[in-house]
Amino acid sequence: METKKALKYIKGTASEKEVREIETWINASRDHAKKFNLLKAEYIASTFDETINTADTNQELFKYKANIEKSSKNKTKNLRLSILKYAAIFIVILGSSYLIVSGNFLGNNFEIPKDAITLELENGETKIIQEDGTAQFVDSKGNTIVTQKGNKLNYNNNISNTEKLVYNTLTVPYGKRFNIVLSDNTHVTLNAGTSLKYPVKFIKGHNREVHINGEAFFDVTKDKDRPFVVKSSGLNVRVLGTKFNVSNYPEDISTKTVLVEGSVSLYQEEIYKPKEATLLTPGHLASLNKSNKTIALEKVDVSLYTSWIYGTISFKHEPFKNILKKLERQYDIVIKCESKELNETFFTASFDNTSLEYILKTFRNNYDIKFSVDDSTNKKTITINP
Amino acid sequence: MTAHETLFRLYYDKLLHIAKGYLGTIEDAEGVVQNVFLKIWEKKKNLGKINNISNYLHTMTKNACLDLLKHQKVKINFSNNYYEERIAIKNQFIKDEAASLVIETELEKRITKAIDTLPEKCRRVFLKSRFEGLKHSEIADVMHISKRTVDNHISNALQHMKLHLKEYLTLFLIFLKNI
Repeated sequence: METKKALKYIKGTASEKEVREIETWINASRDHAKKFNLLKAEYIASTFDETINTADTNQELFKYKANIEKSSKNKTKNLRLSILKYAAIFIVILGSSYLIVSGNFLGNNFEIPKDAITLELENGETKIIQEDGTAQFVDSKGNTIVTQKGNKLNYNNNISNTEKLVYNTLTVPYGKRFNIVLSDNTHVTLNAGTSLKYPVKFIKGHNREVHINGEAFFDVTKDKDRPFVVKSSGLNVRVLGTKFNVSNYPEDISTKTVLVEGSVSLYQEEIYKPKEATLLTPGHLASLNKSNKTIALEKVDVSLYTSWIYGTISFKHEPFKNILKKLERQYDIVIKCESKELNETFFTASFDNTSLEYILKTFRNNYDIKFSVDDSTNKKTITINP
Repeated sequence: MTAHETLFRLYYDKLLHIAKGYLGTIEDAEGVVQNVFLKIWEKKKNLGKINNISNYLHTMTKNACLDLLKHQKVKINFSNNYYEERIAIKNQFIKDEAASLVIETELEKRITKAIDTLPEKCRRVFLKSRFEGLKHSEIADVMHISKRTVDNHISNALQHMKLHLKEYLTLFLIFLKNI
């Protein structure tokens, strides 16, 4: 056998006549086949780079994840019904451009400092909440509707029945977290830079509806007659009784819902139609792409999306610029990074209750970045250089 | 997902190349390699028991290619004797052990290339945590070293990895969290 001709055959550049010749030669004896095989193996071994350089691994990884999703979906189908019986835990991360306008929230009230937790009452009055204090707020009739103890607001379940929905809005600034117990005993933890609008008292026969901008973890009291609906720009999350996390930050390109346990429905229309809603199963993340309005499902490590409640900062495959935004919120600082390349680099990391300095040092130790801290202005400013 | 993602990123293009060599077309190869990884996902619990991950993945790829060829053979069985011969040549090539060894040696070489500059112990610790999914304390038990030493090896591994596998580095930070 001519090596040259055989190589042409292996590369697929041989003519039809040559192909026949080679194949006849290979089939002629076991020894021929072995020689051919070794030549082909060596050719394959020496040409790895050709495929490696052209393969689109990211695209294929995306397909792989979709395949996994499909395969685990088939498996969970049977489990789904039994799980529905139990109290559910789930997480929702929603996206919107709220923070951009959140300034208006305090806009009319110049004396309110930007780093204060505020409660907007039904009459439009804005109260400052001291994290270490206690306070009581009354409605127009003089009934106590909410009491504050430290970092928790507690809404009274016993106020007289009203026919009208009356809303309050709690806003948590950068660098802080806060808890709230709604009148139905639903517990909510608000993350930094978040605002939640909710009725002072839920009305009989109506869905329990709240509006979220930012990120919050919900522990919803079960009430099958009154579904709990978390509304955010573009997405509604409907549950009967469950625990979940809602996040709604402007830098995220998608609105995300993560389910830890149980089941929730996601829908984009104003009115809930069971057939058109997306049902989410445990351990999965649903991302609503804000621009094309499609929902993608993927299996995730849910703790990445809930651990912030305990002070952990996690990012999964997020661009550096988004991570900086999250750090700014968490630590109430300003971070500047001019490097376009670094800003678009994706990172996955998790930090437990650590100082900002430790996080920056971790990045510095693993990547060649430098940072400088400026304490002279009223907000700490950090400048990062690659 | 992270361990699987790393595995995918490390092996996908290399297995794709091998499957393309076995089957002749990139389209067939893509389908086959996707199926291999899907099987890996479904059998994830067994992954920890594998001694040689390159050998395991290569074998799975070979079997998936043989399956595909069998299907093709059924399709053309009565139509064309000549194509059946061509498939037979591909078939015997996949089964040729000497040829397999040549390919697998190169595969292994390419995978370890990125990590072989690590000190031996460091690498072992790293591979154990990466591919076998062991907790740091379990690695310490298996290798008869202290957990602190495991931590050190992993952080050393991270330092070295950044030169070679920069894009994977971030995934390992999650491992640090689980110490």
